[in-house]
Amino acid sequence: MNIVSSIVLAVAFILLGVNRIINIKRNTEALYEAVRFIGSVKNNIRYLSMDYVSLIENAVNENYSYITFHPEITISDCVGEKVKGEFLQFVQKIGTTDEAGQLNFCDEYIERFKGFYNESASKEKSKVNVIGAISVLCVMCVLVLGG
Amino acid sequence: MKDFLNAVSLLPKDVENMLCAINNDFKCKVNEIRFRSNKPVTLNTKEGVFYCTKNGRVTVNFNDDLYFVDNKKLQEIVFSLSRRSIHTYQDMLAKGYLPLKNGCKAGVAGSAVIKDGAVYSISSFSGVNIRISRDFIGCSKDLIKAVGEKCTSFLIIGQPLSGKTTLLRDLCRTYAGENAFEPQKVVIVDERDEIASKSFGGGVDVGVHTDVLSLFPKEVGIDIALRTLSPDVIVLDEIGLDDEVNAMLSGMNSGVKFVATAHGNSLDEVLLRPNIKKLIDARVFNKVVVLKGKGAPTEIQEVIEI
Repeated sequence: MNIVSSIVLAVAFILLGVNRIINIKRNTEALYEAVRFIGSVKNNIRYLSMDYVSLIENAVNENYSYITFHPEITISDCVGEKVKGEFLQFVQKIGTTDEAGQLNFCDEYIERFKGFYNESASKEKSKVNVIGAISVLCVMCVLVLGG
Repeated sequence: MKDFLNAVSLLPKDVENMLCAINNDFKCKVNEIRFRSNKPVTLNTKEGVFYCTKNGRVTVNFNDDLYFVDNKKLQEIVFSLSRRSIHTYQDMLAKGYLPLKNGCKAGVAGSAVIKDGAVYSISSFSGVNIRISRDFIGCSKDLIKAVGEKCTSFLIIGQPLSGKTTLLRDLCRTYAGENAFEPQKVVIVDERDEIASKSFGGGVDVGVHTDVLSLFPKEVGIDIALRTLSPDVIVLDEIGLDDEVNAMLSGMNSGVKFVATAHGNSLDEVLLRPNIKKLIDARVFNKVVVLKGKGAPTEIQEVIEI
């Protein structure tokens, strides 16, 4: 295998790895926003008894990158189908019960999404370490083959 | 017709579309739209009760083509009327109603949820009654001629759908309007958001010189008005509870006039209610106006000097 092929392969591996890290990072950020959004909904119901329309108007002003509000509230695909489904379940339950019920289910979903977030954050950390190590290895291989 | 469309605008889309398909002339006559669990939708007018078919036709015949509402659809209707926010309207639901746009109101029937001895909420909804509020600009002209051009304290008595709230709105516009000869400072204590409808979007014109205390219990609103808003007139709808009456008795010698309404067919009938009798005996009101009834909304039957 000549040096050029080695470099191309090494670069390809590194780019794949970086892409993987970016996806995991986006997933983590989206989950963080989901926790933030659910917390905001809880506070607005608890302290201001905000109705559904006001909750959306308020959320739009909070500048979420991964959550959109029109035509419906939805979260970015980067969180995966399962988590997206859970988020949709949360949105569908907003306003369906009295205040005590709403606060209880907000707490339940905050815990659930915190769990997803922690899992994603820990995966991100370990992947960064692994991919970083592989990248260094690839560079060393290229240097050895070239030298 | 605009009032009808406002009243149905918060319903689920399929129900709204079905009702909007009704003939426009008929829409102008509808006073109430009633949904009852496992029963057909009914439309109440001055001429009587009509049923609605699935494609928006109106009929007096009970048949299989009628639009029936099941339990699930009724739950959906209540959820939709509460703007997808049961938690925001739970106190009002506990009192059996939901405010809609522009003075319209939905009465809600169902099973009471009791907590600590008081009604906390309603569950298992069994019926919804949408009352359509219509504005008749100038409908208070005859009333003002009857009670006198100079504002005084008076009580309006009438049966449901006789136009009491509609008259109150127009009175406020007249007493506190920009063209009023001697504009009065009016405060409306709008406990159920029916008179001015300011709380949840929209709102009705009730005069330039009018302040509205929306959703305040009447006794609290009267106290706030007297202490902080220096009104010439306080306007109240559907009085009769102990606290409200006591607040009015406290306020009667403060130089403020009260204009209020109460349910009843005649003065003799309302005098059988101890709280209303208390107010009349104490001369809180100078006059009592009795309306003709739902067959002739806002029309006066008689004016009685106290």
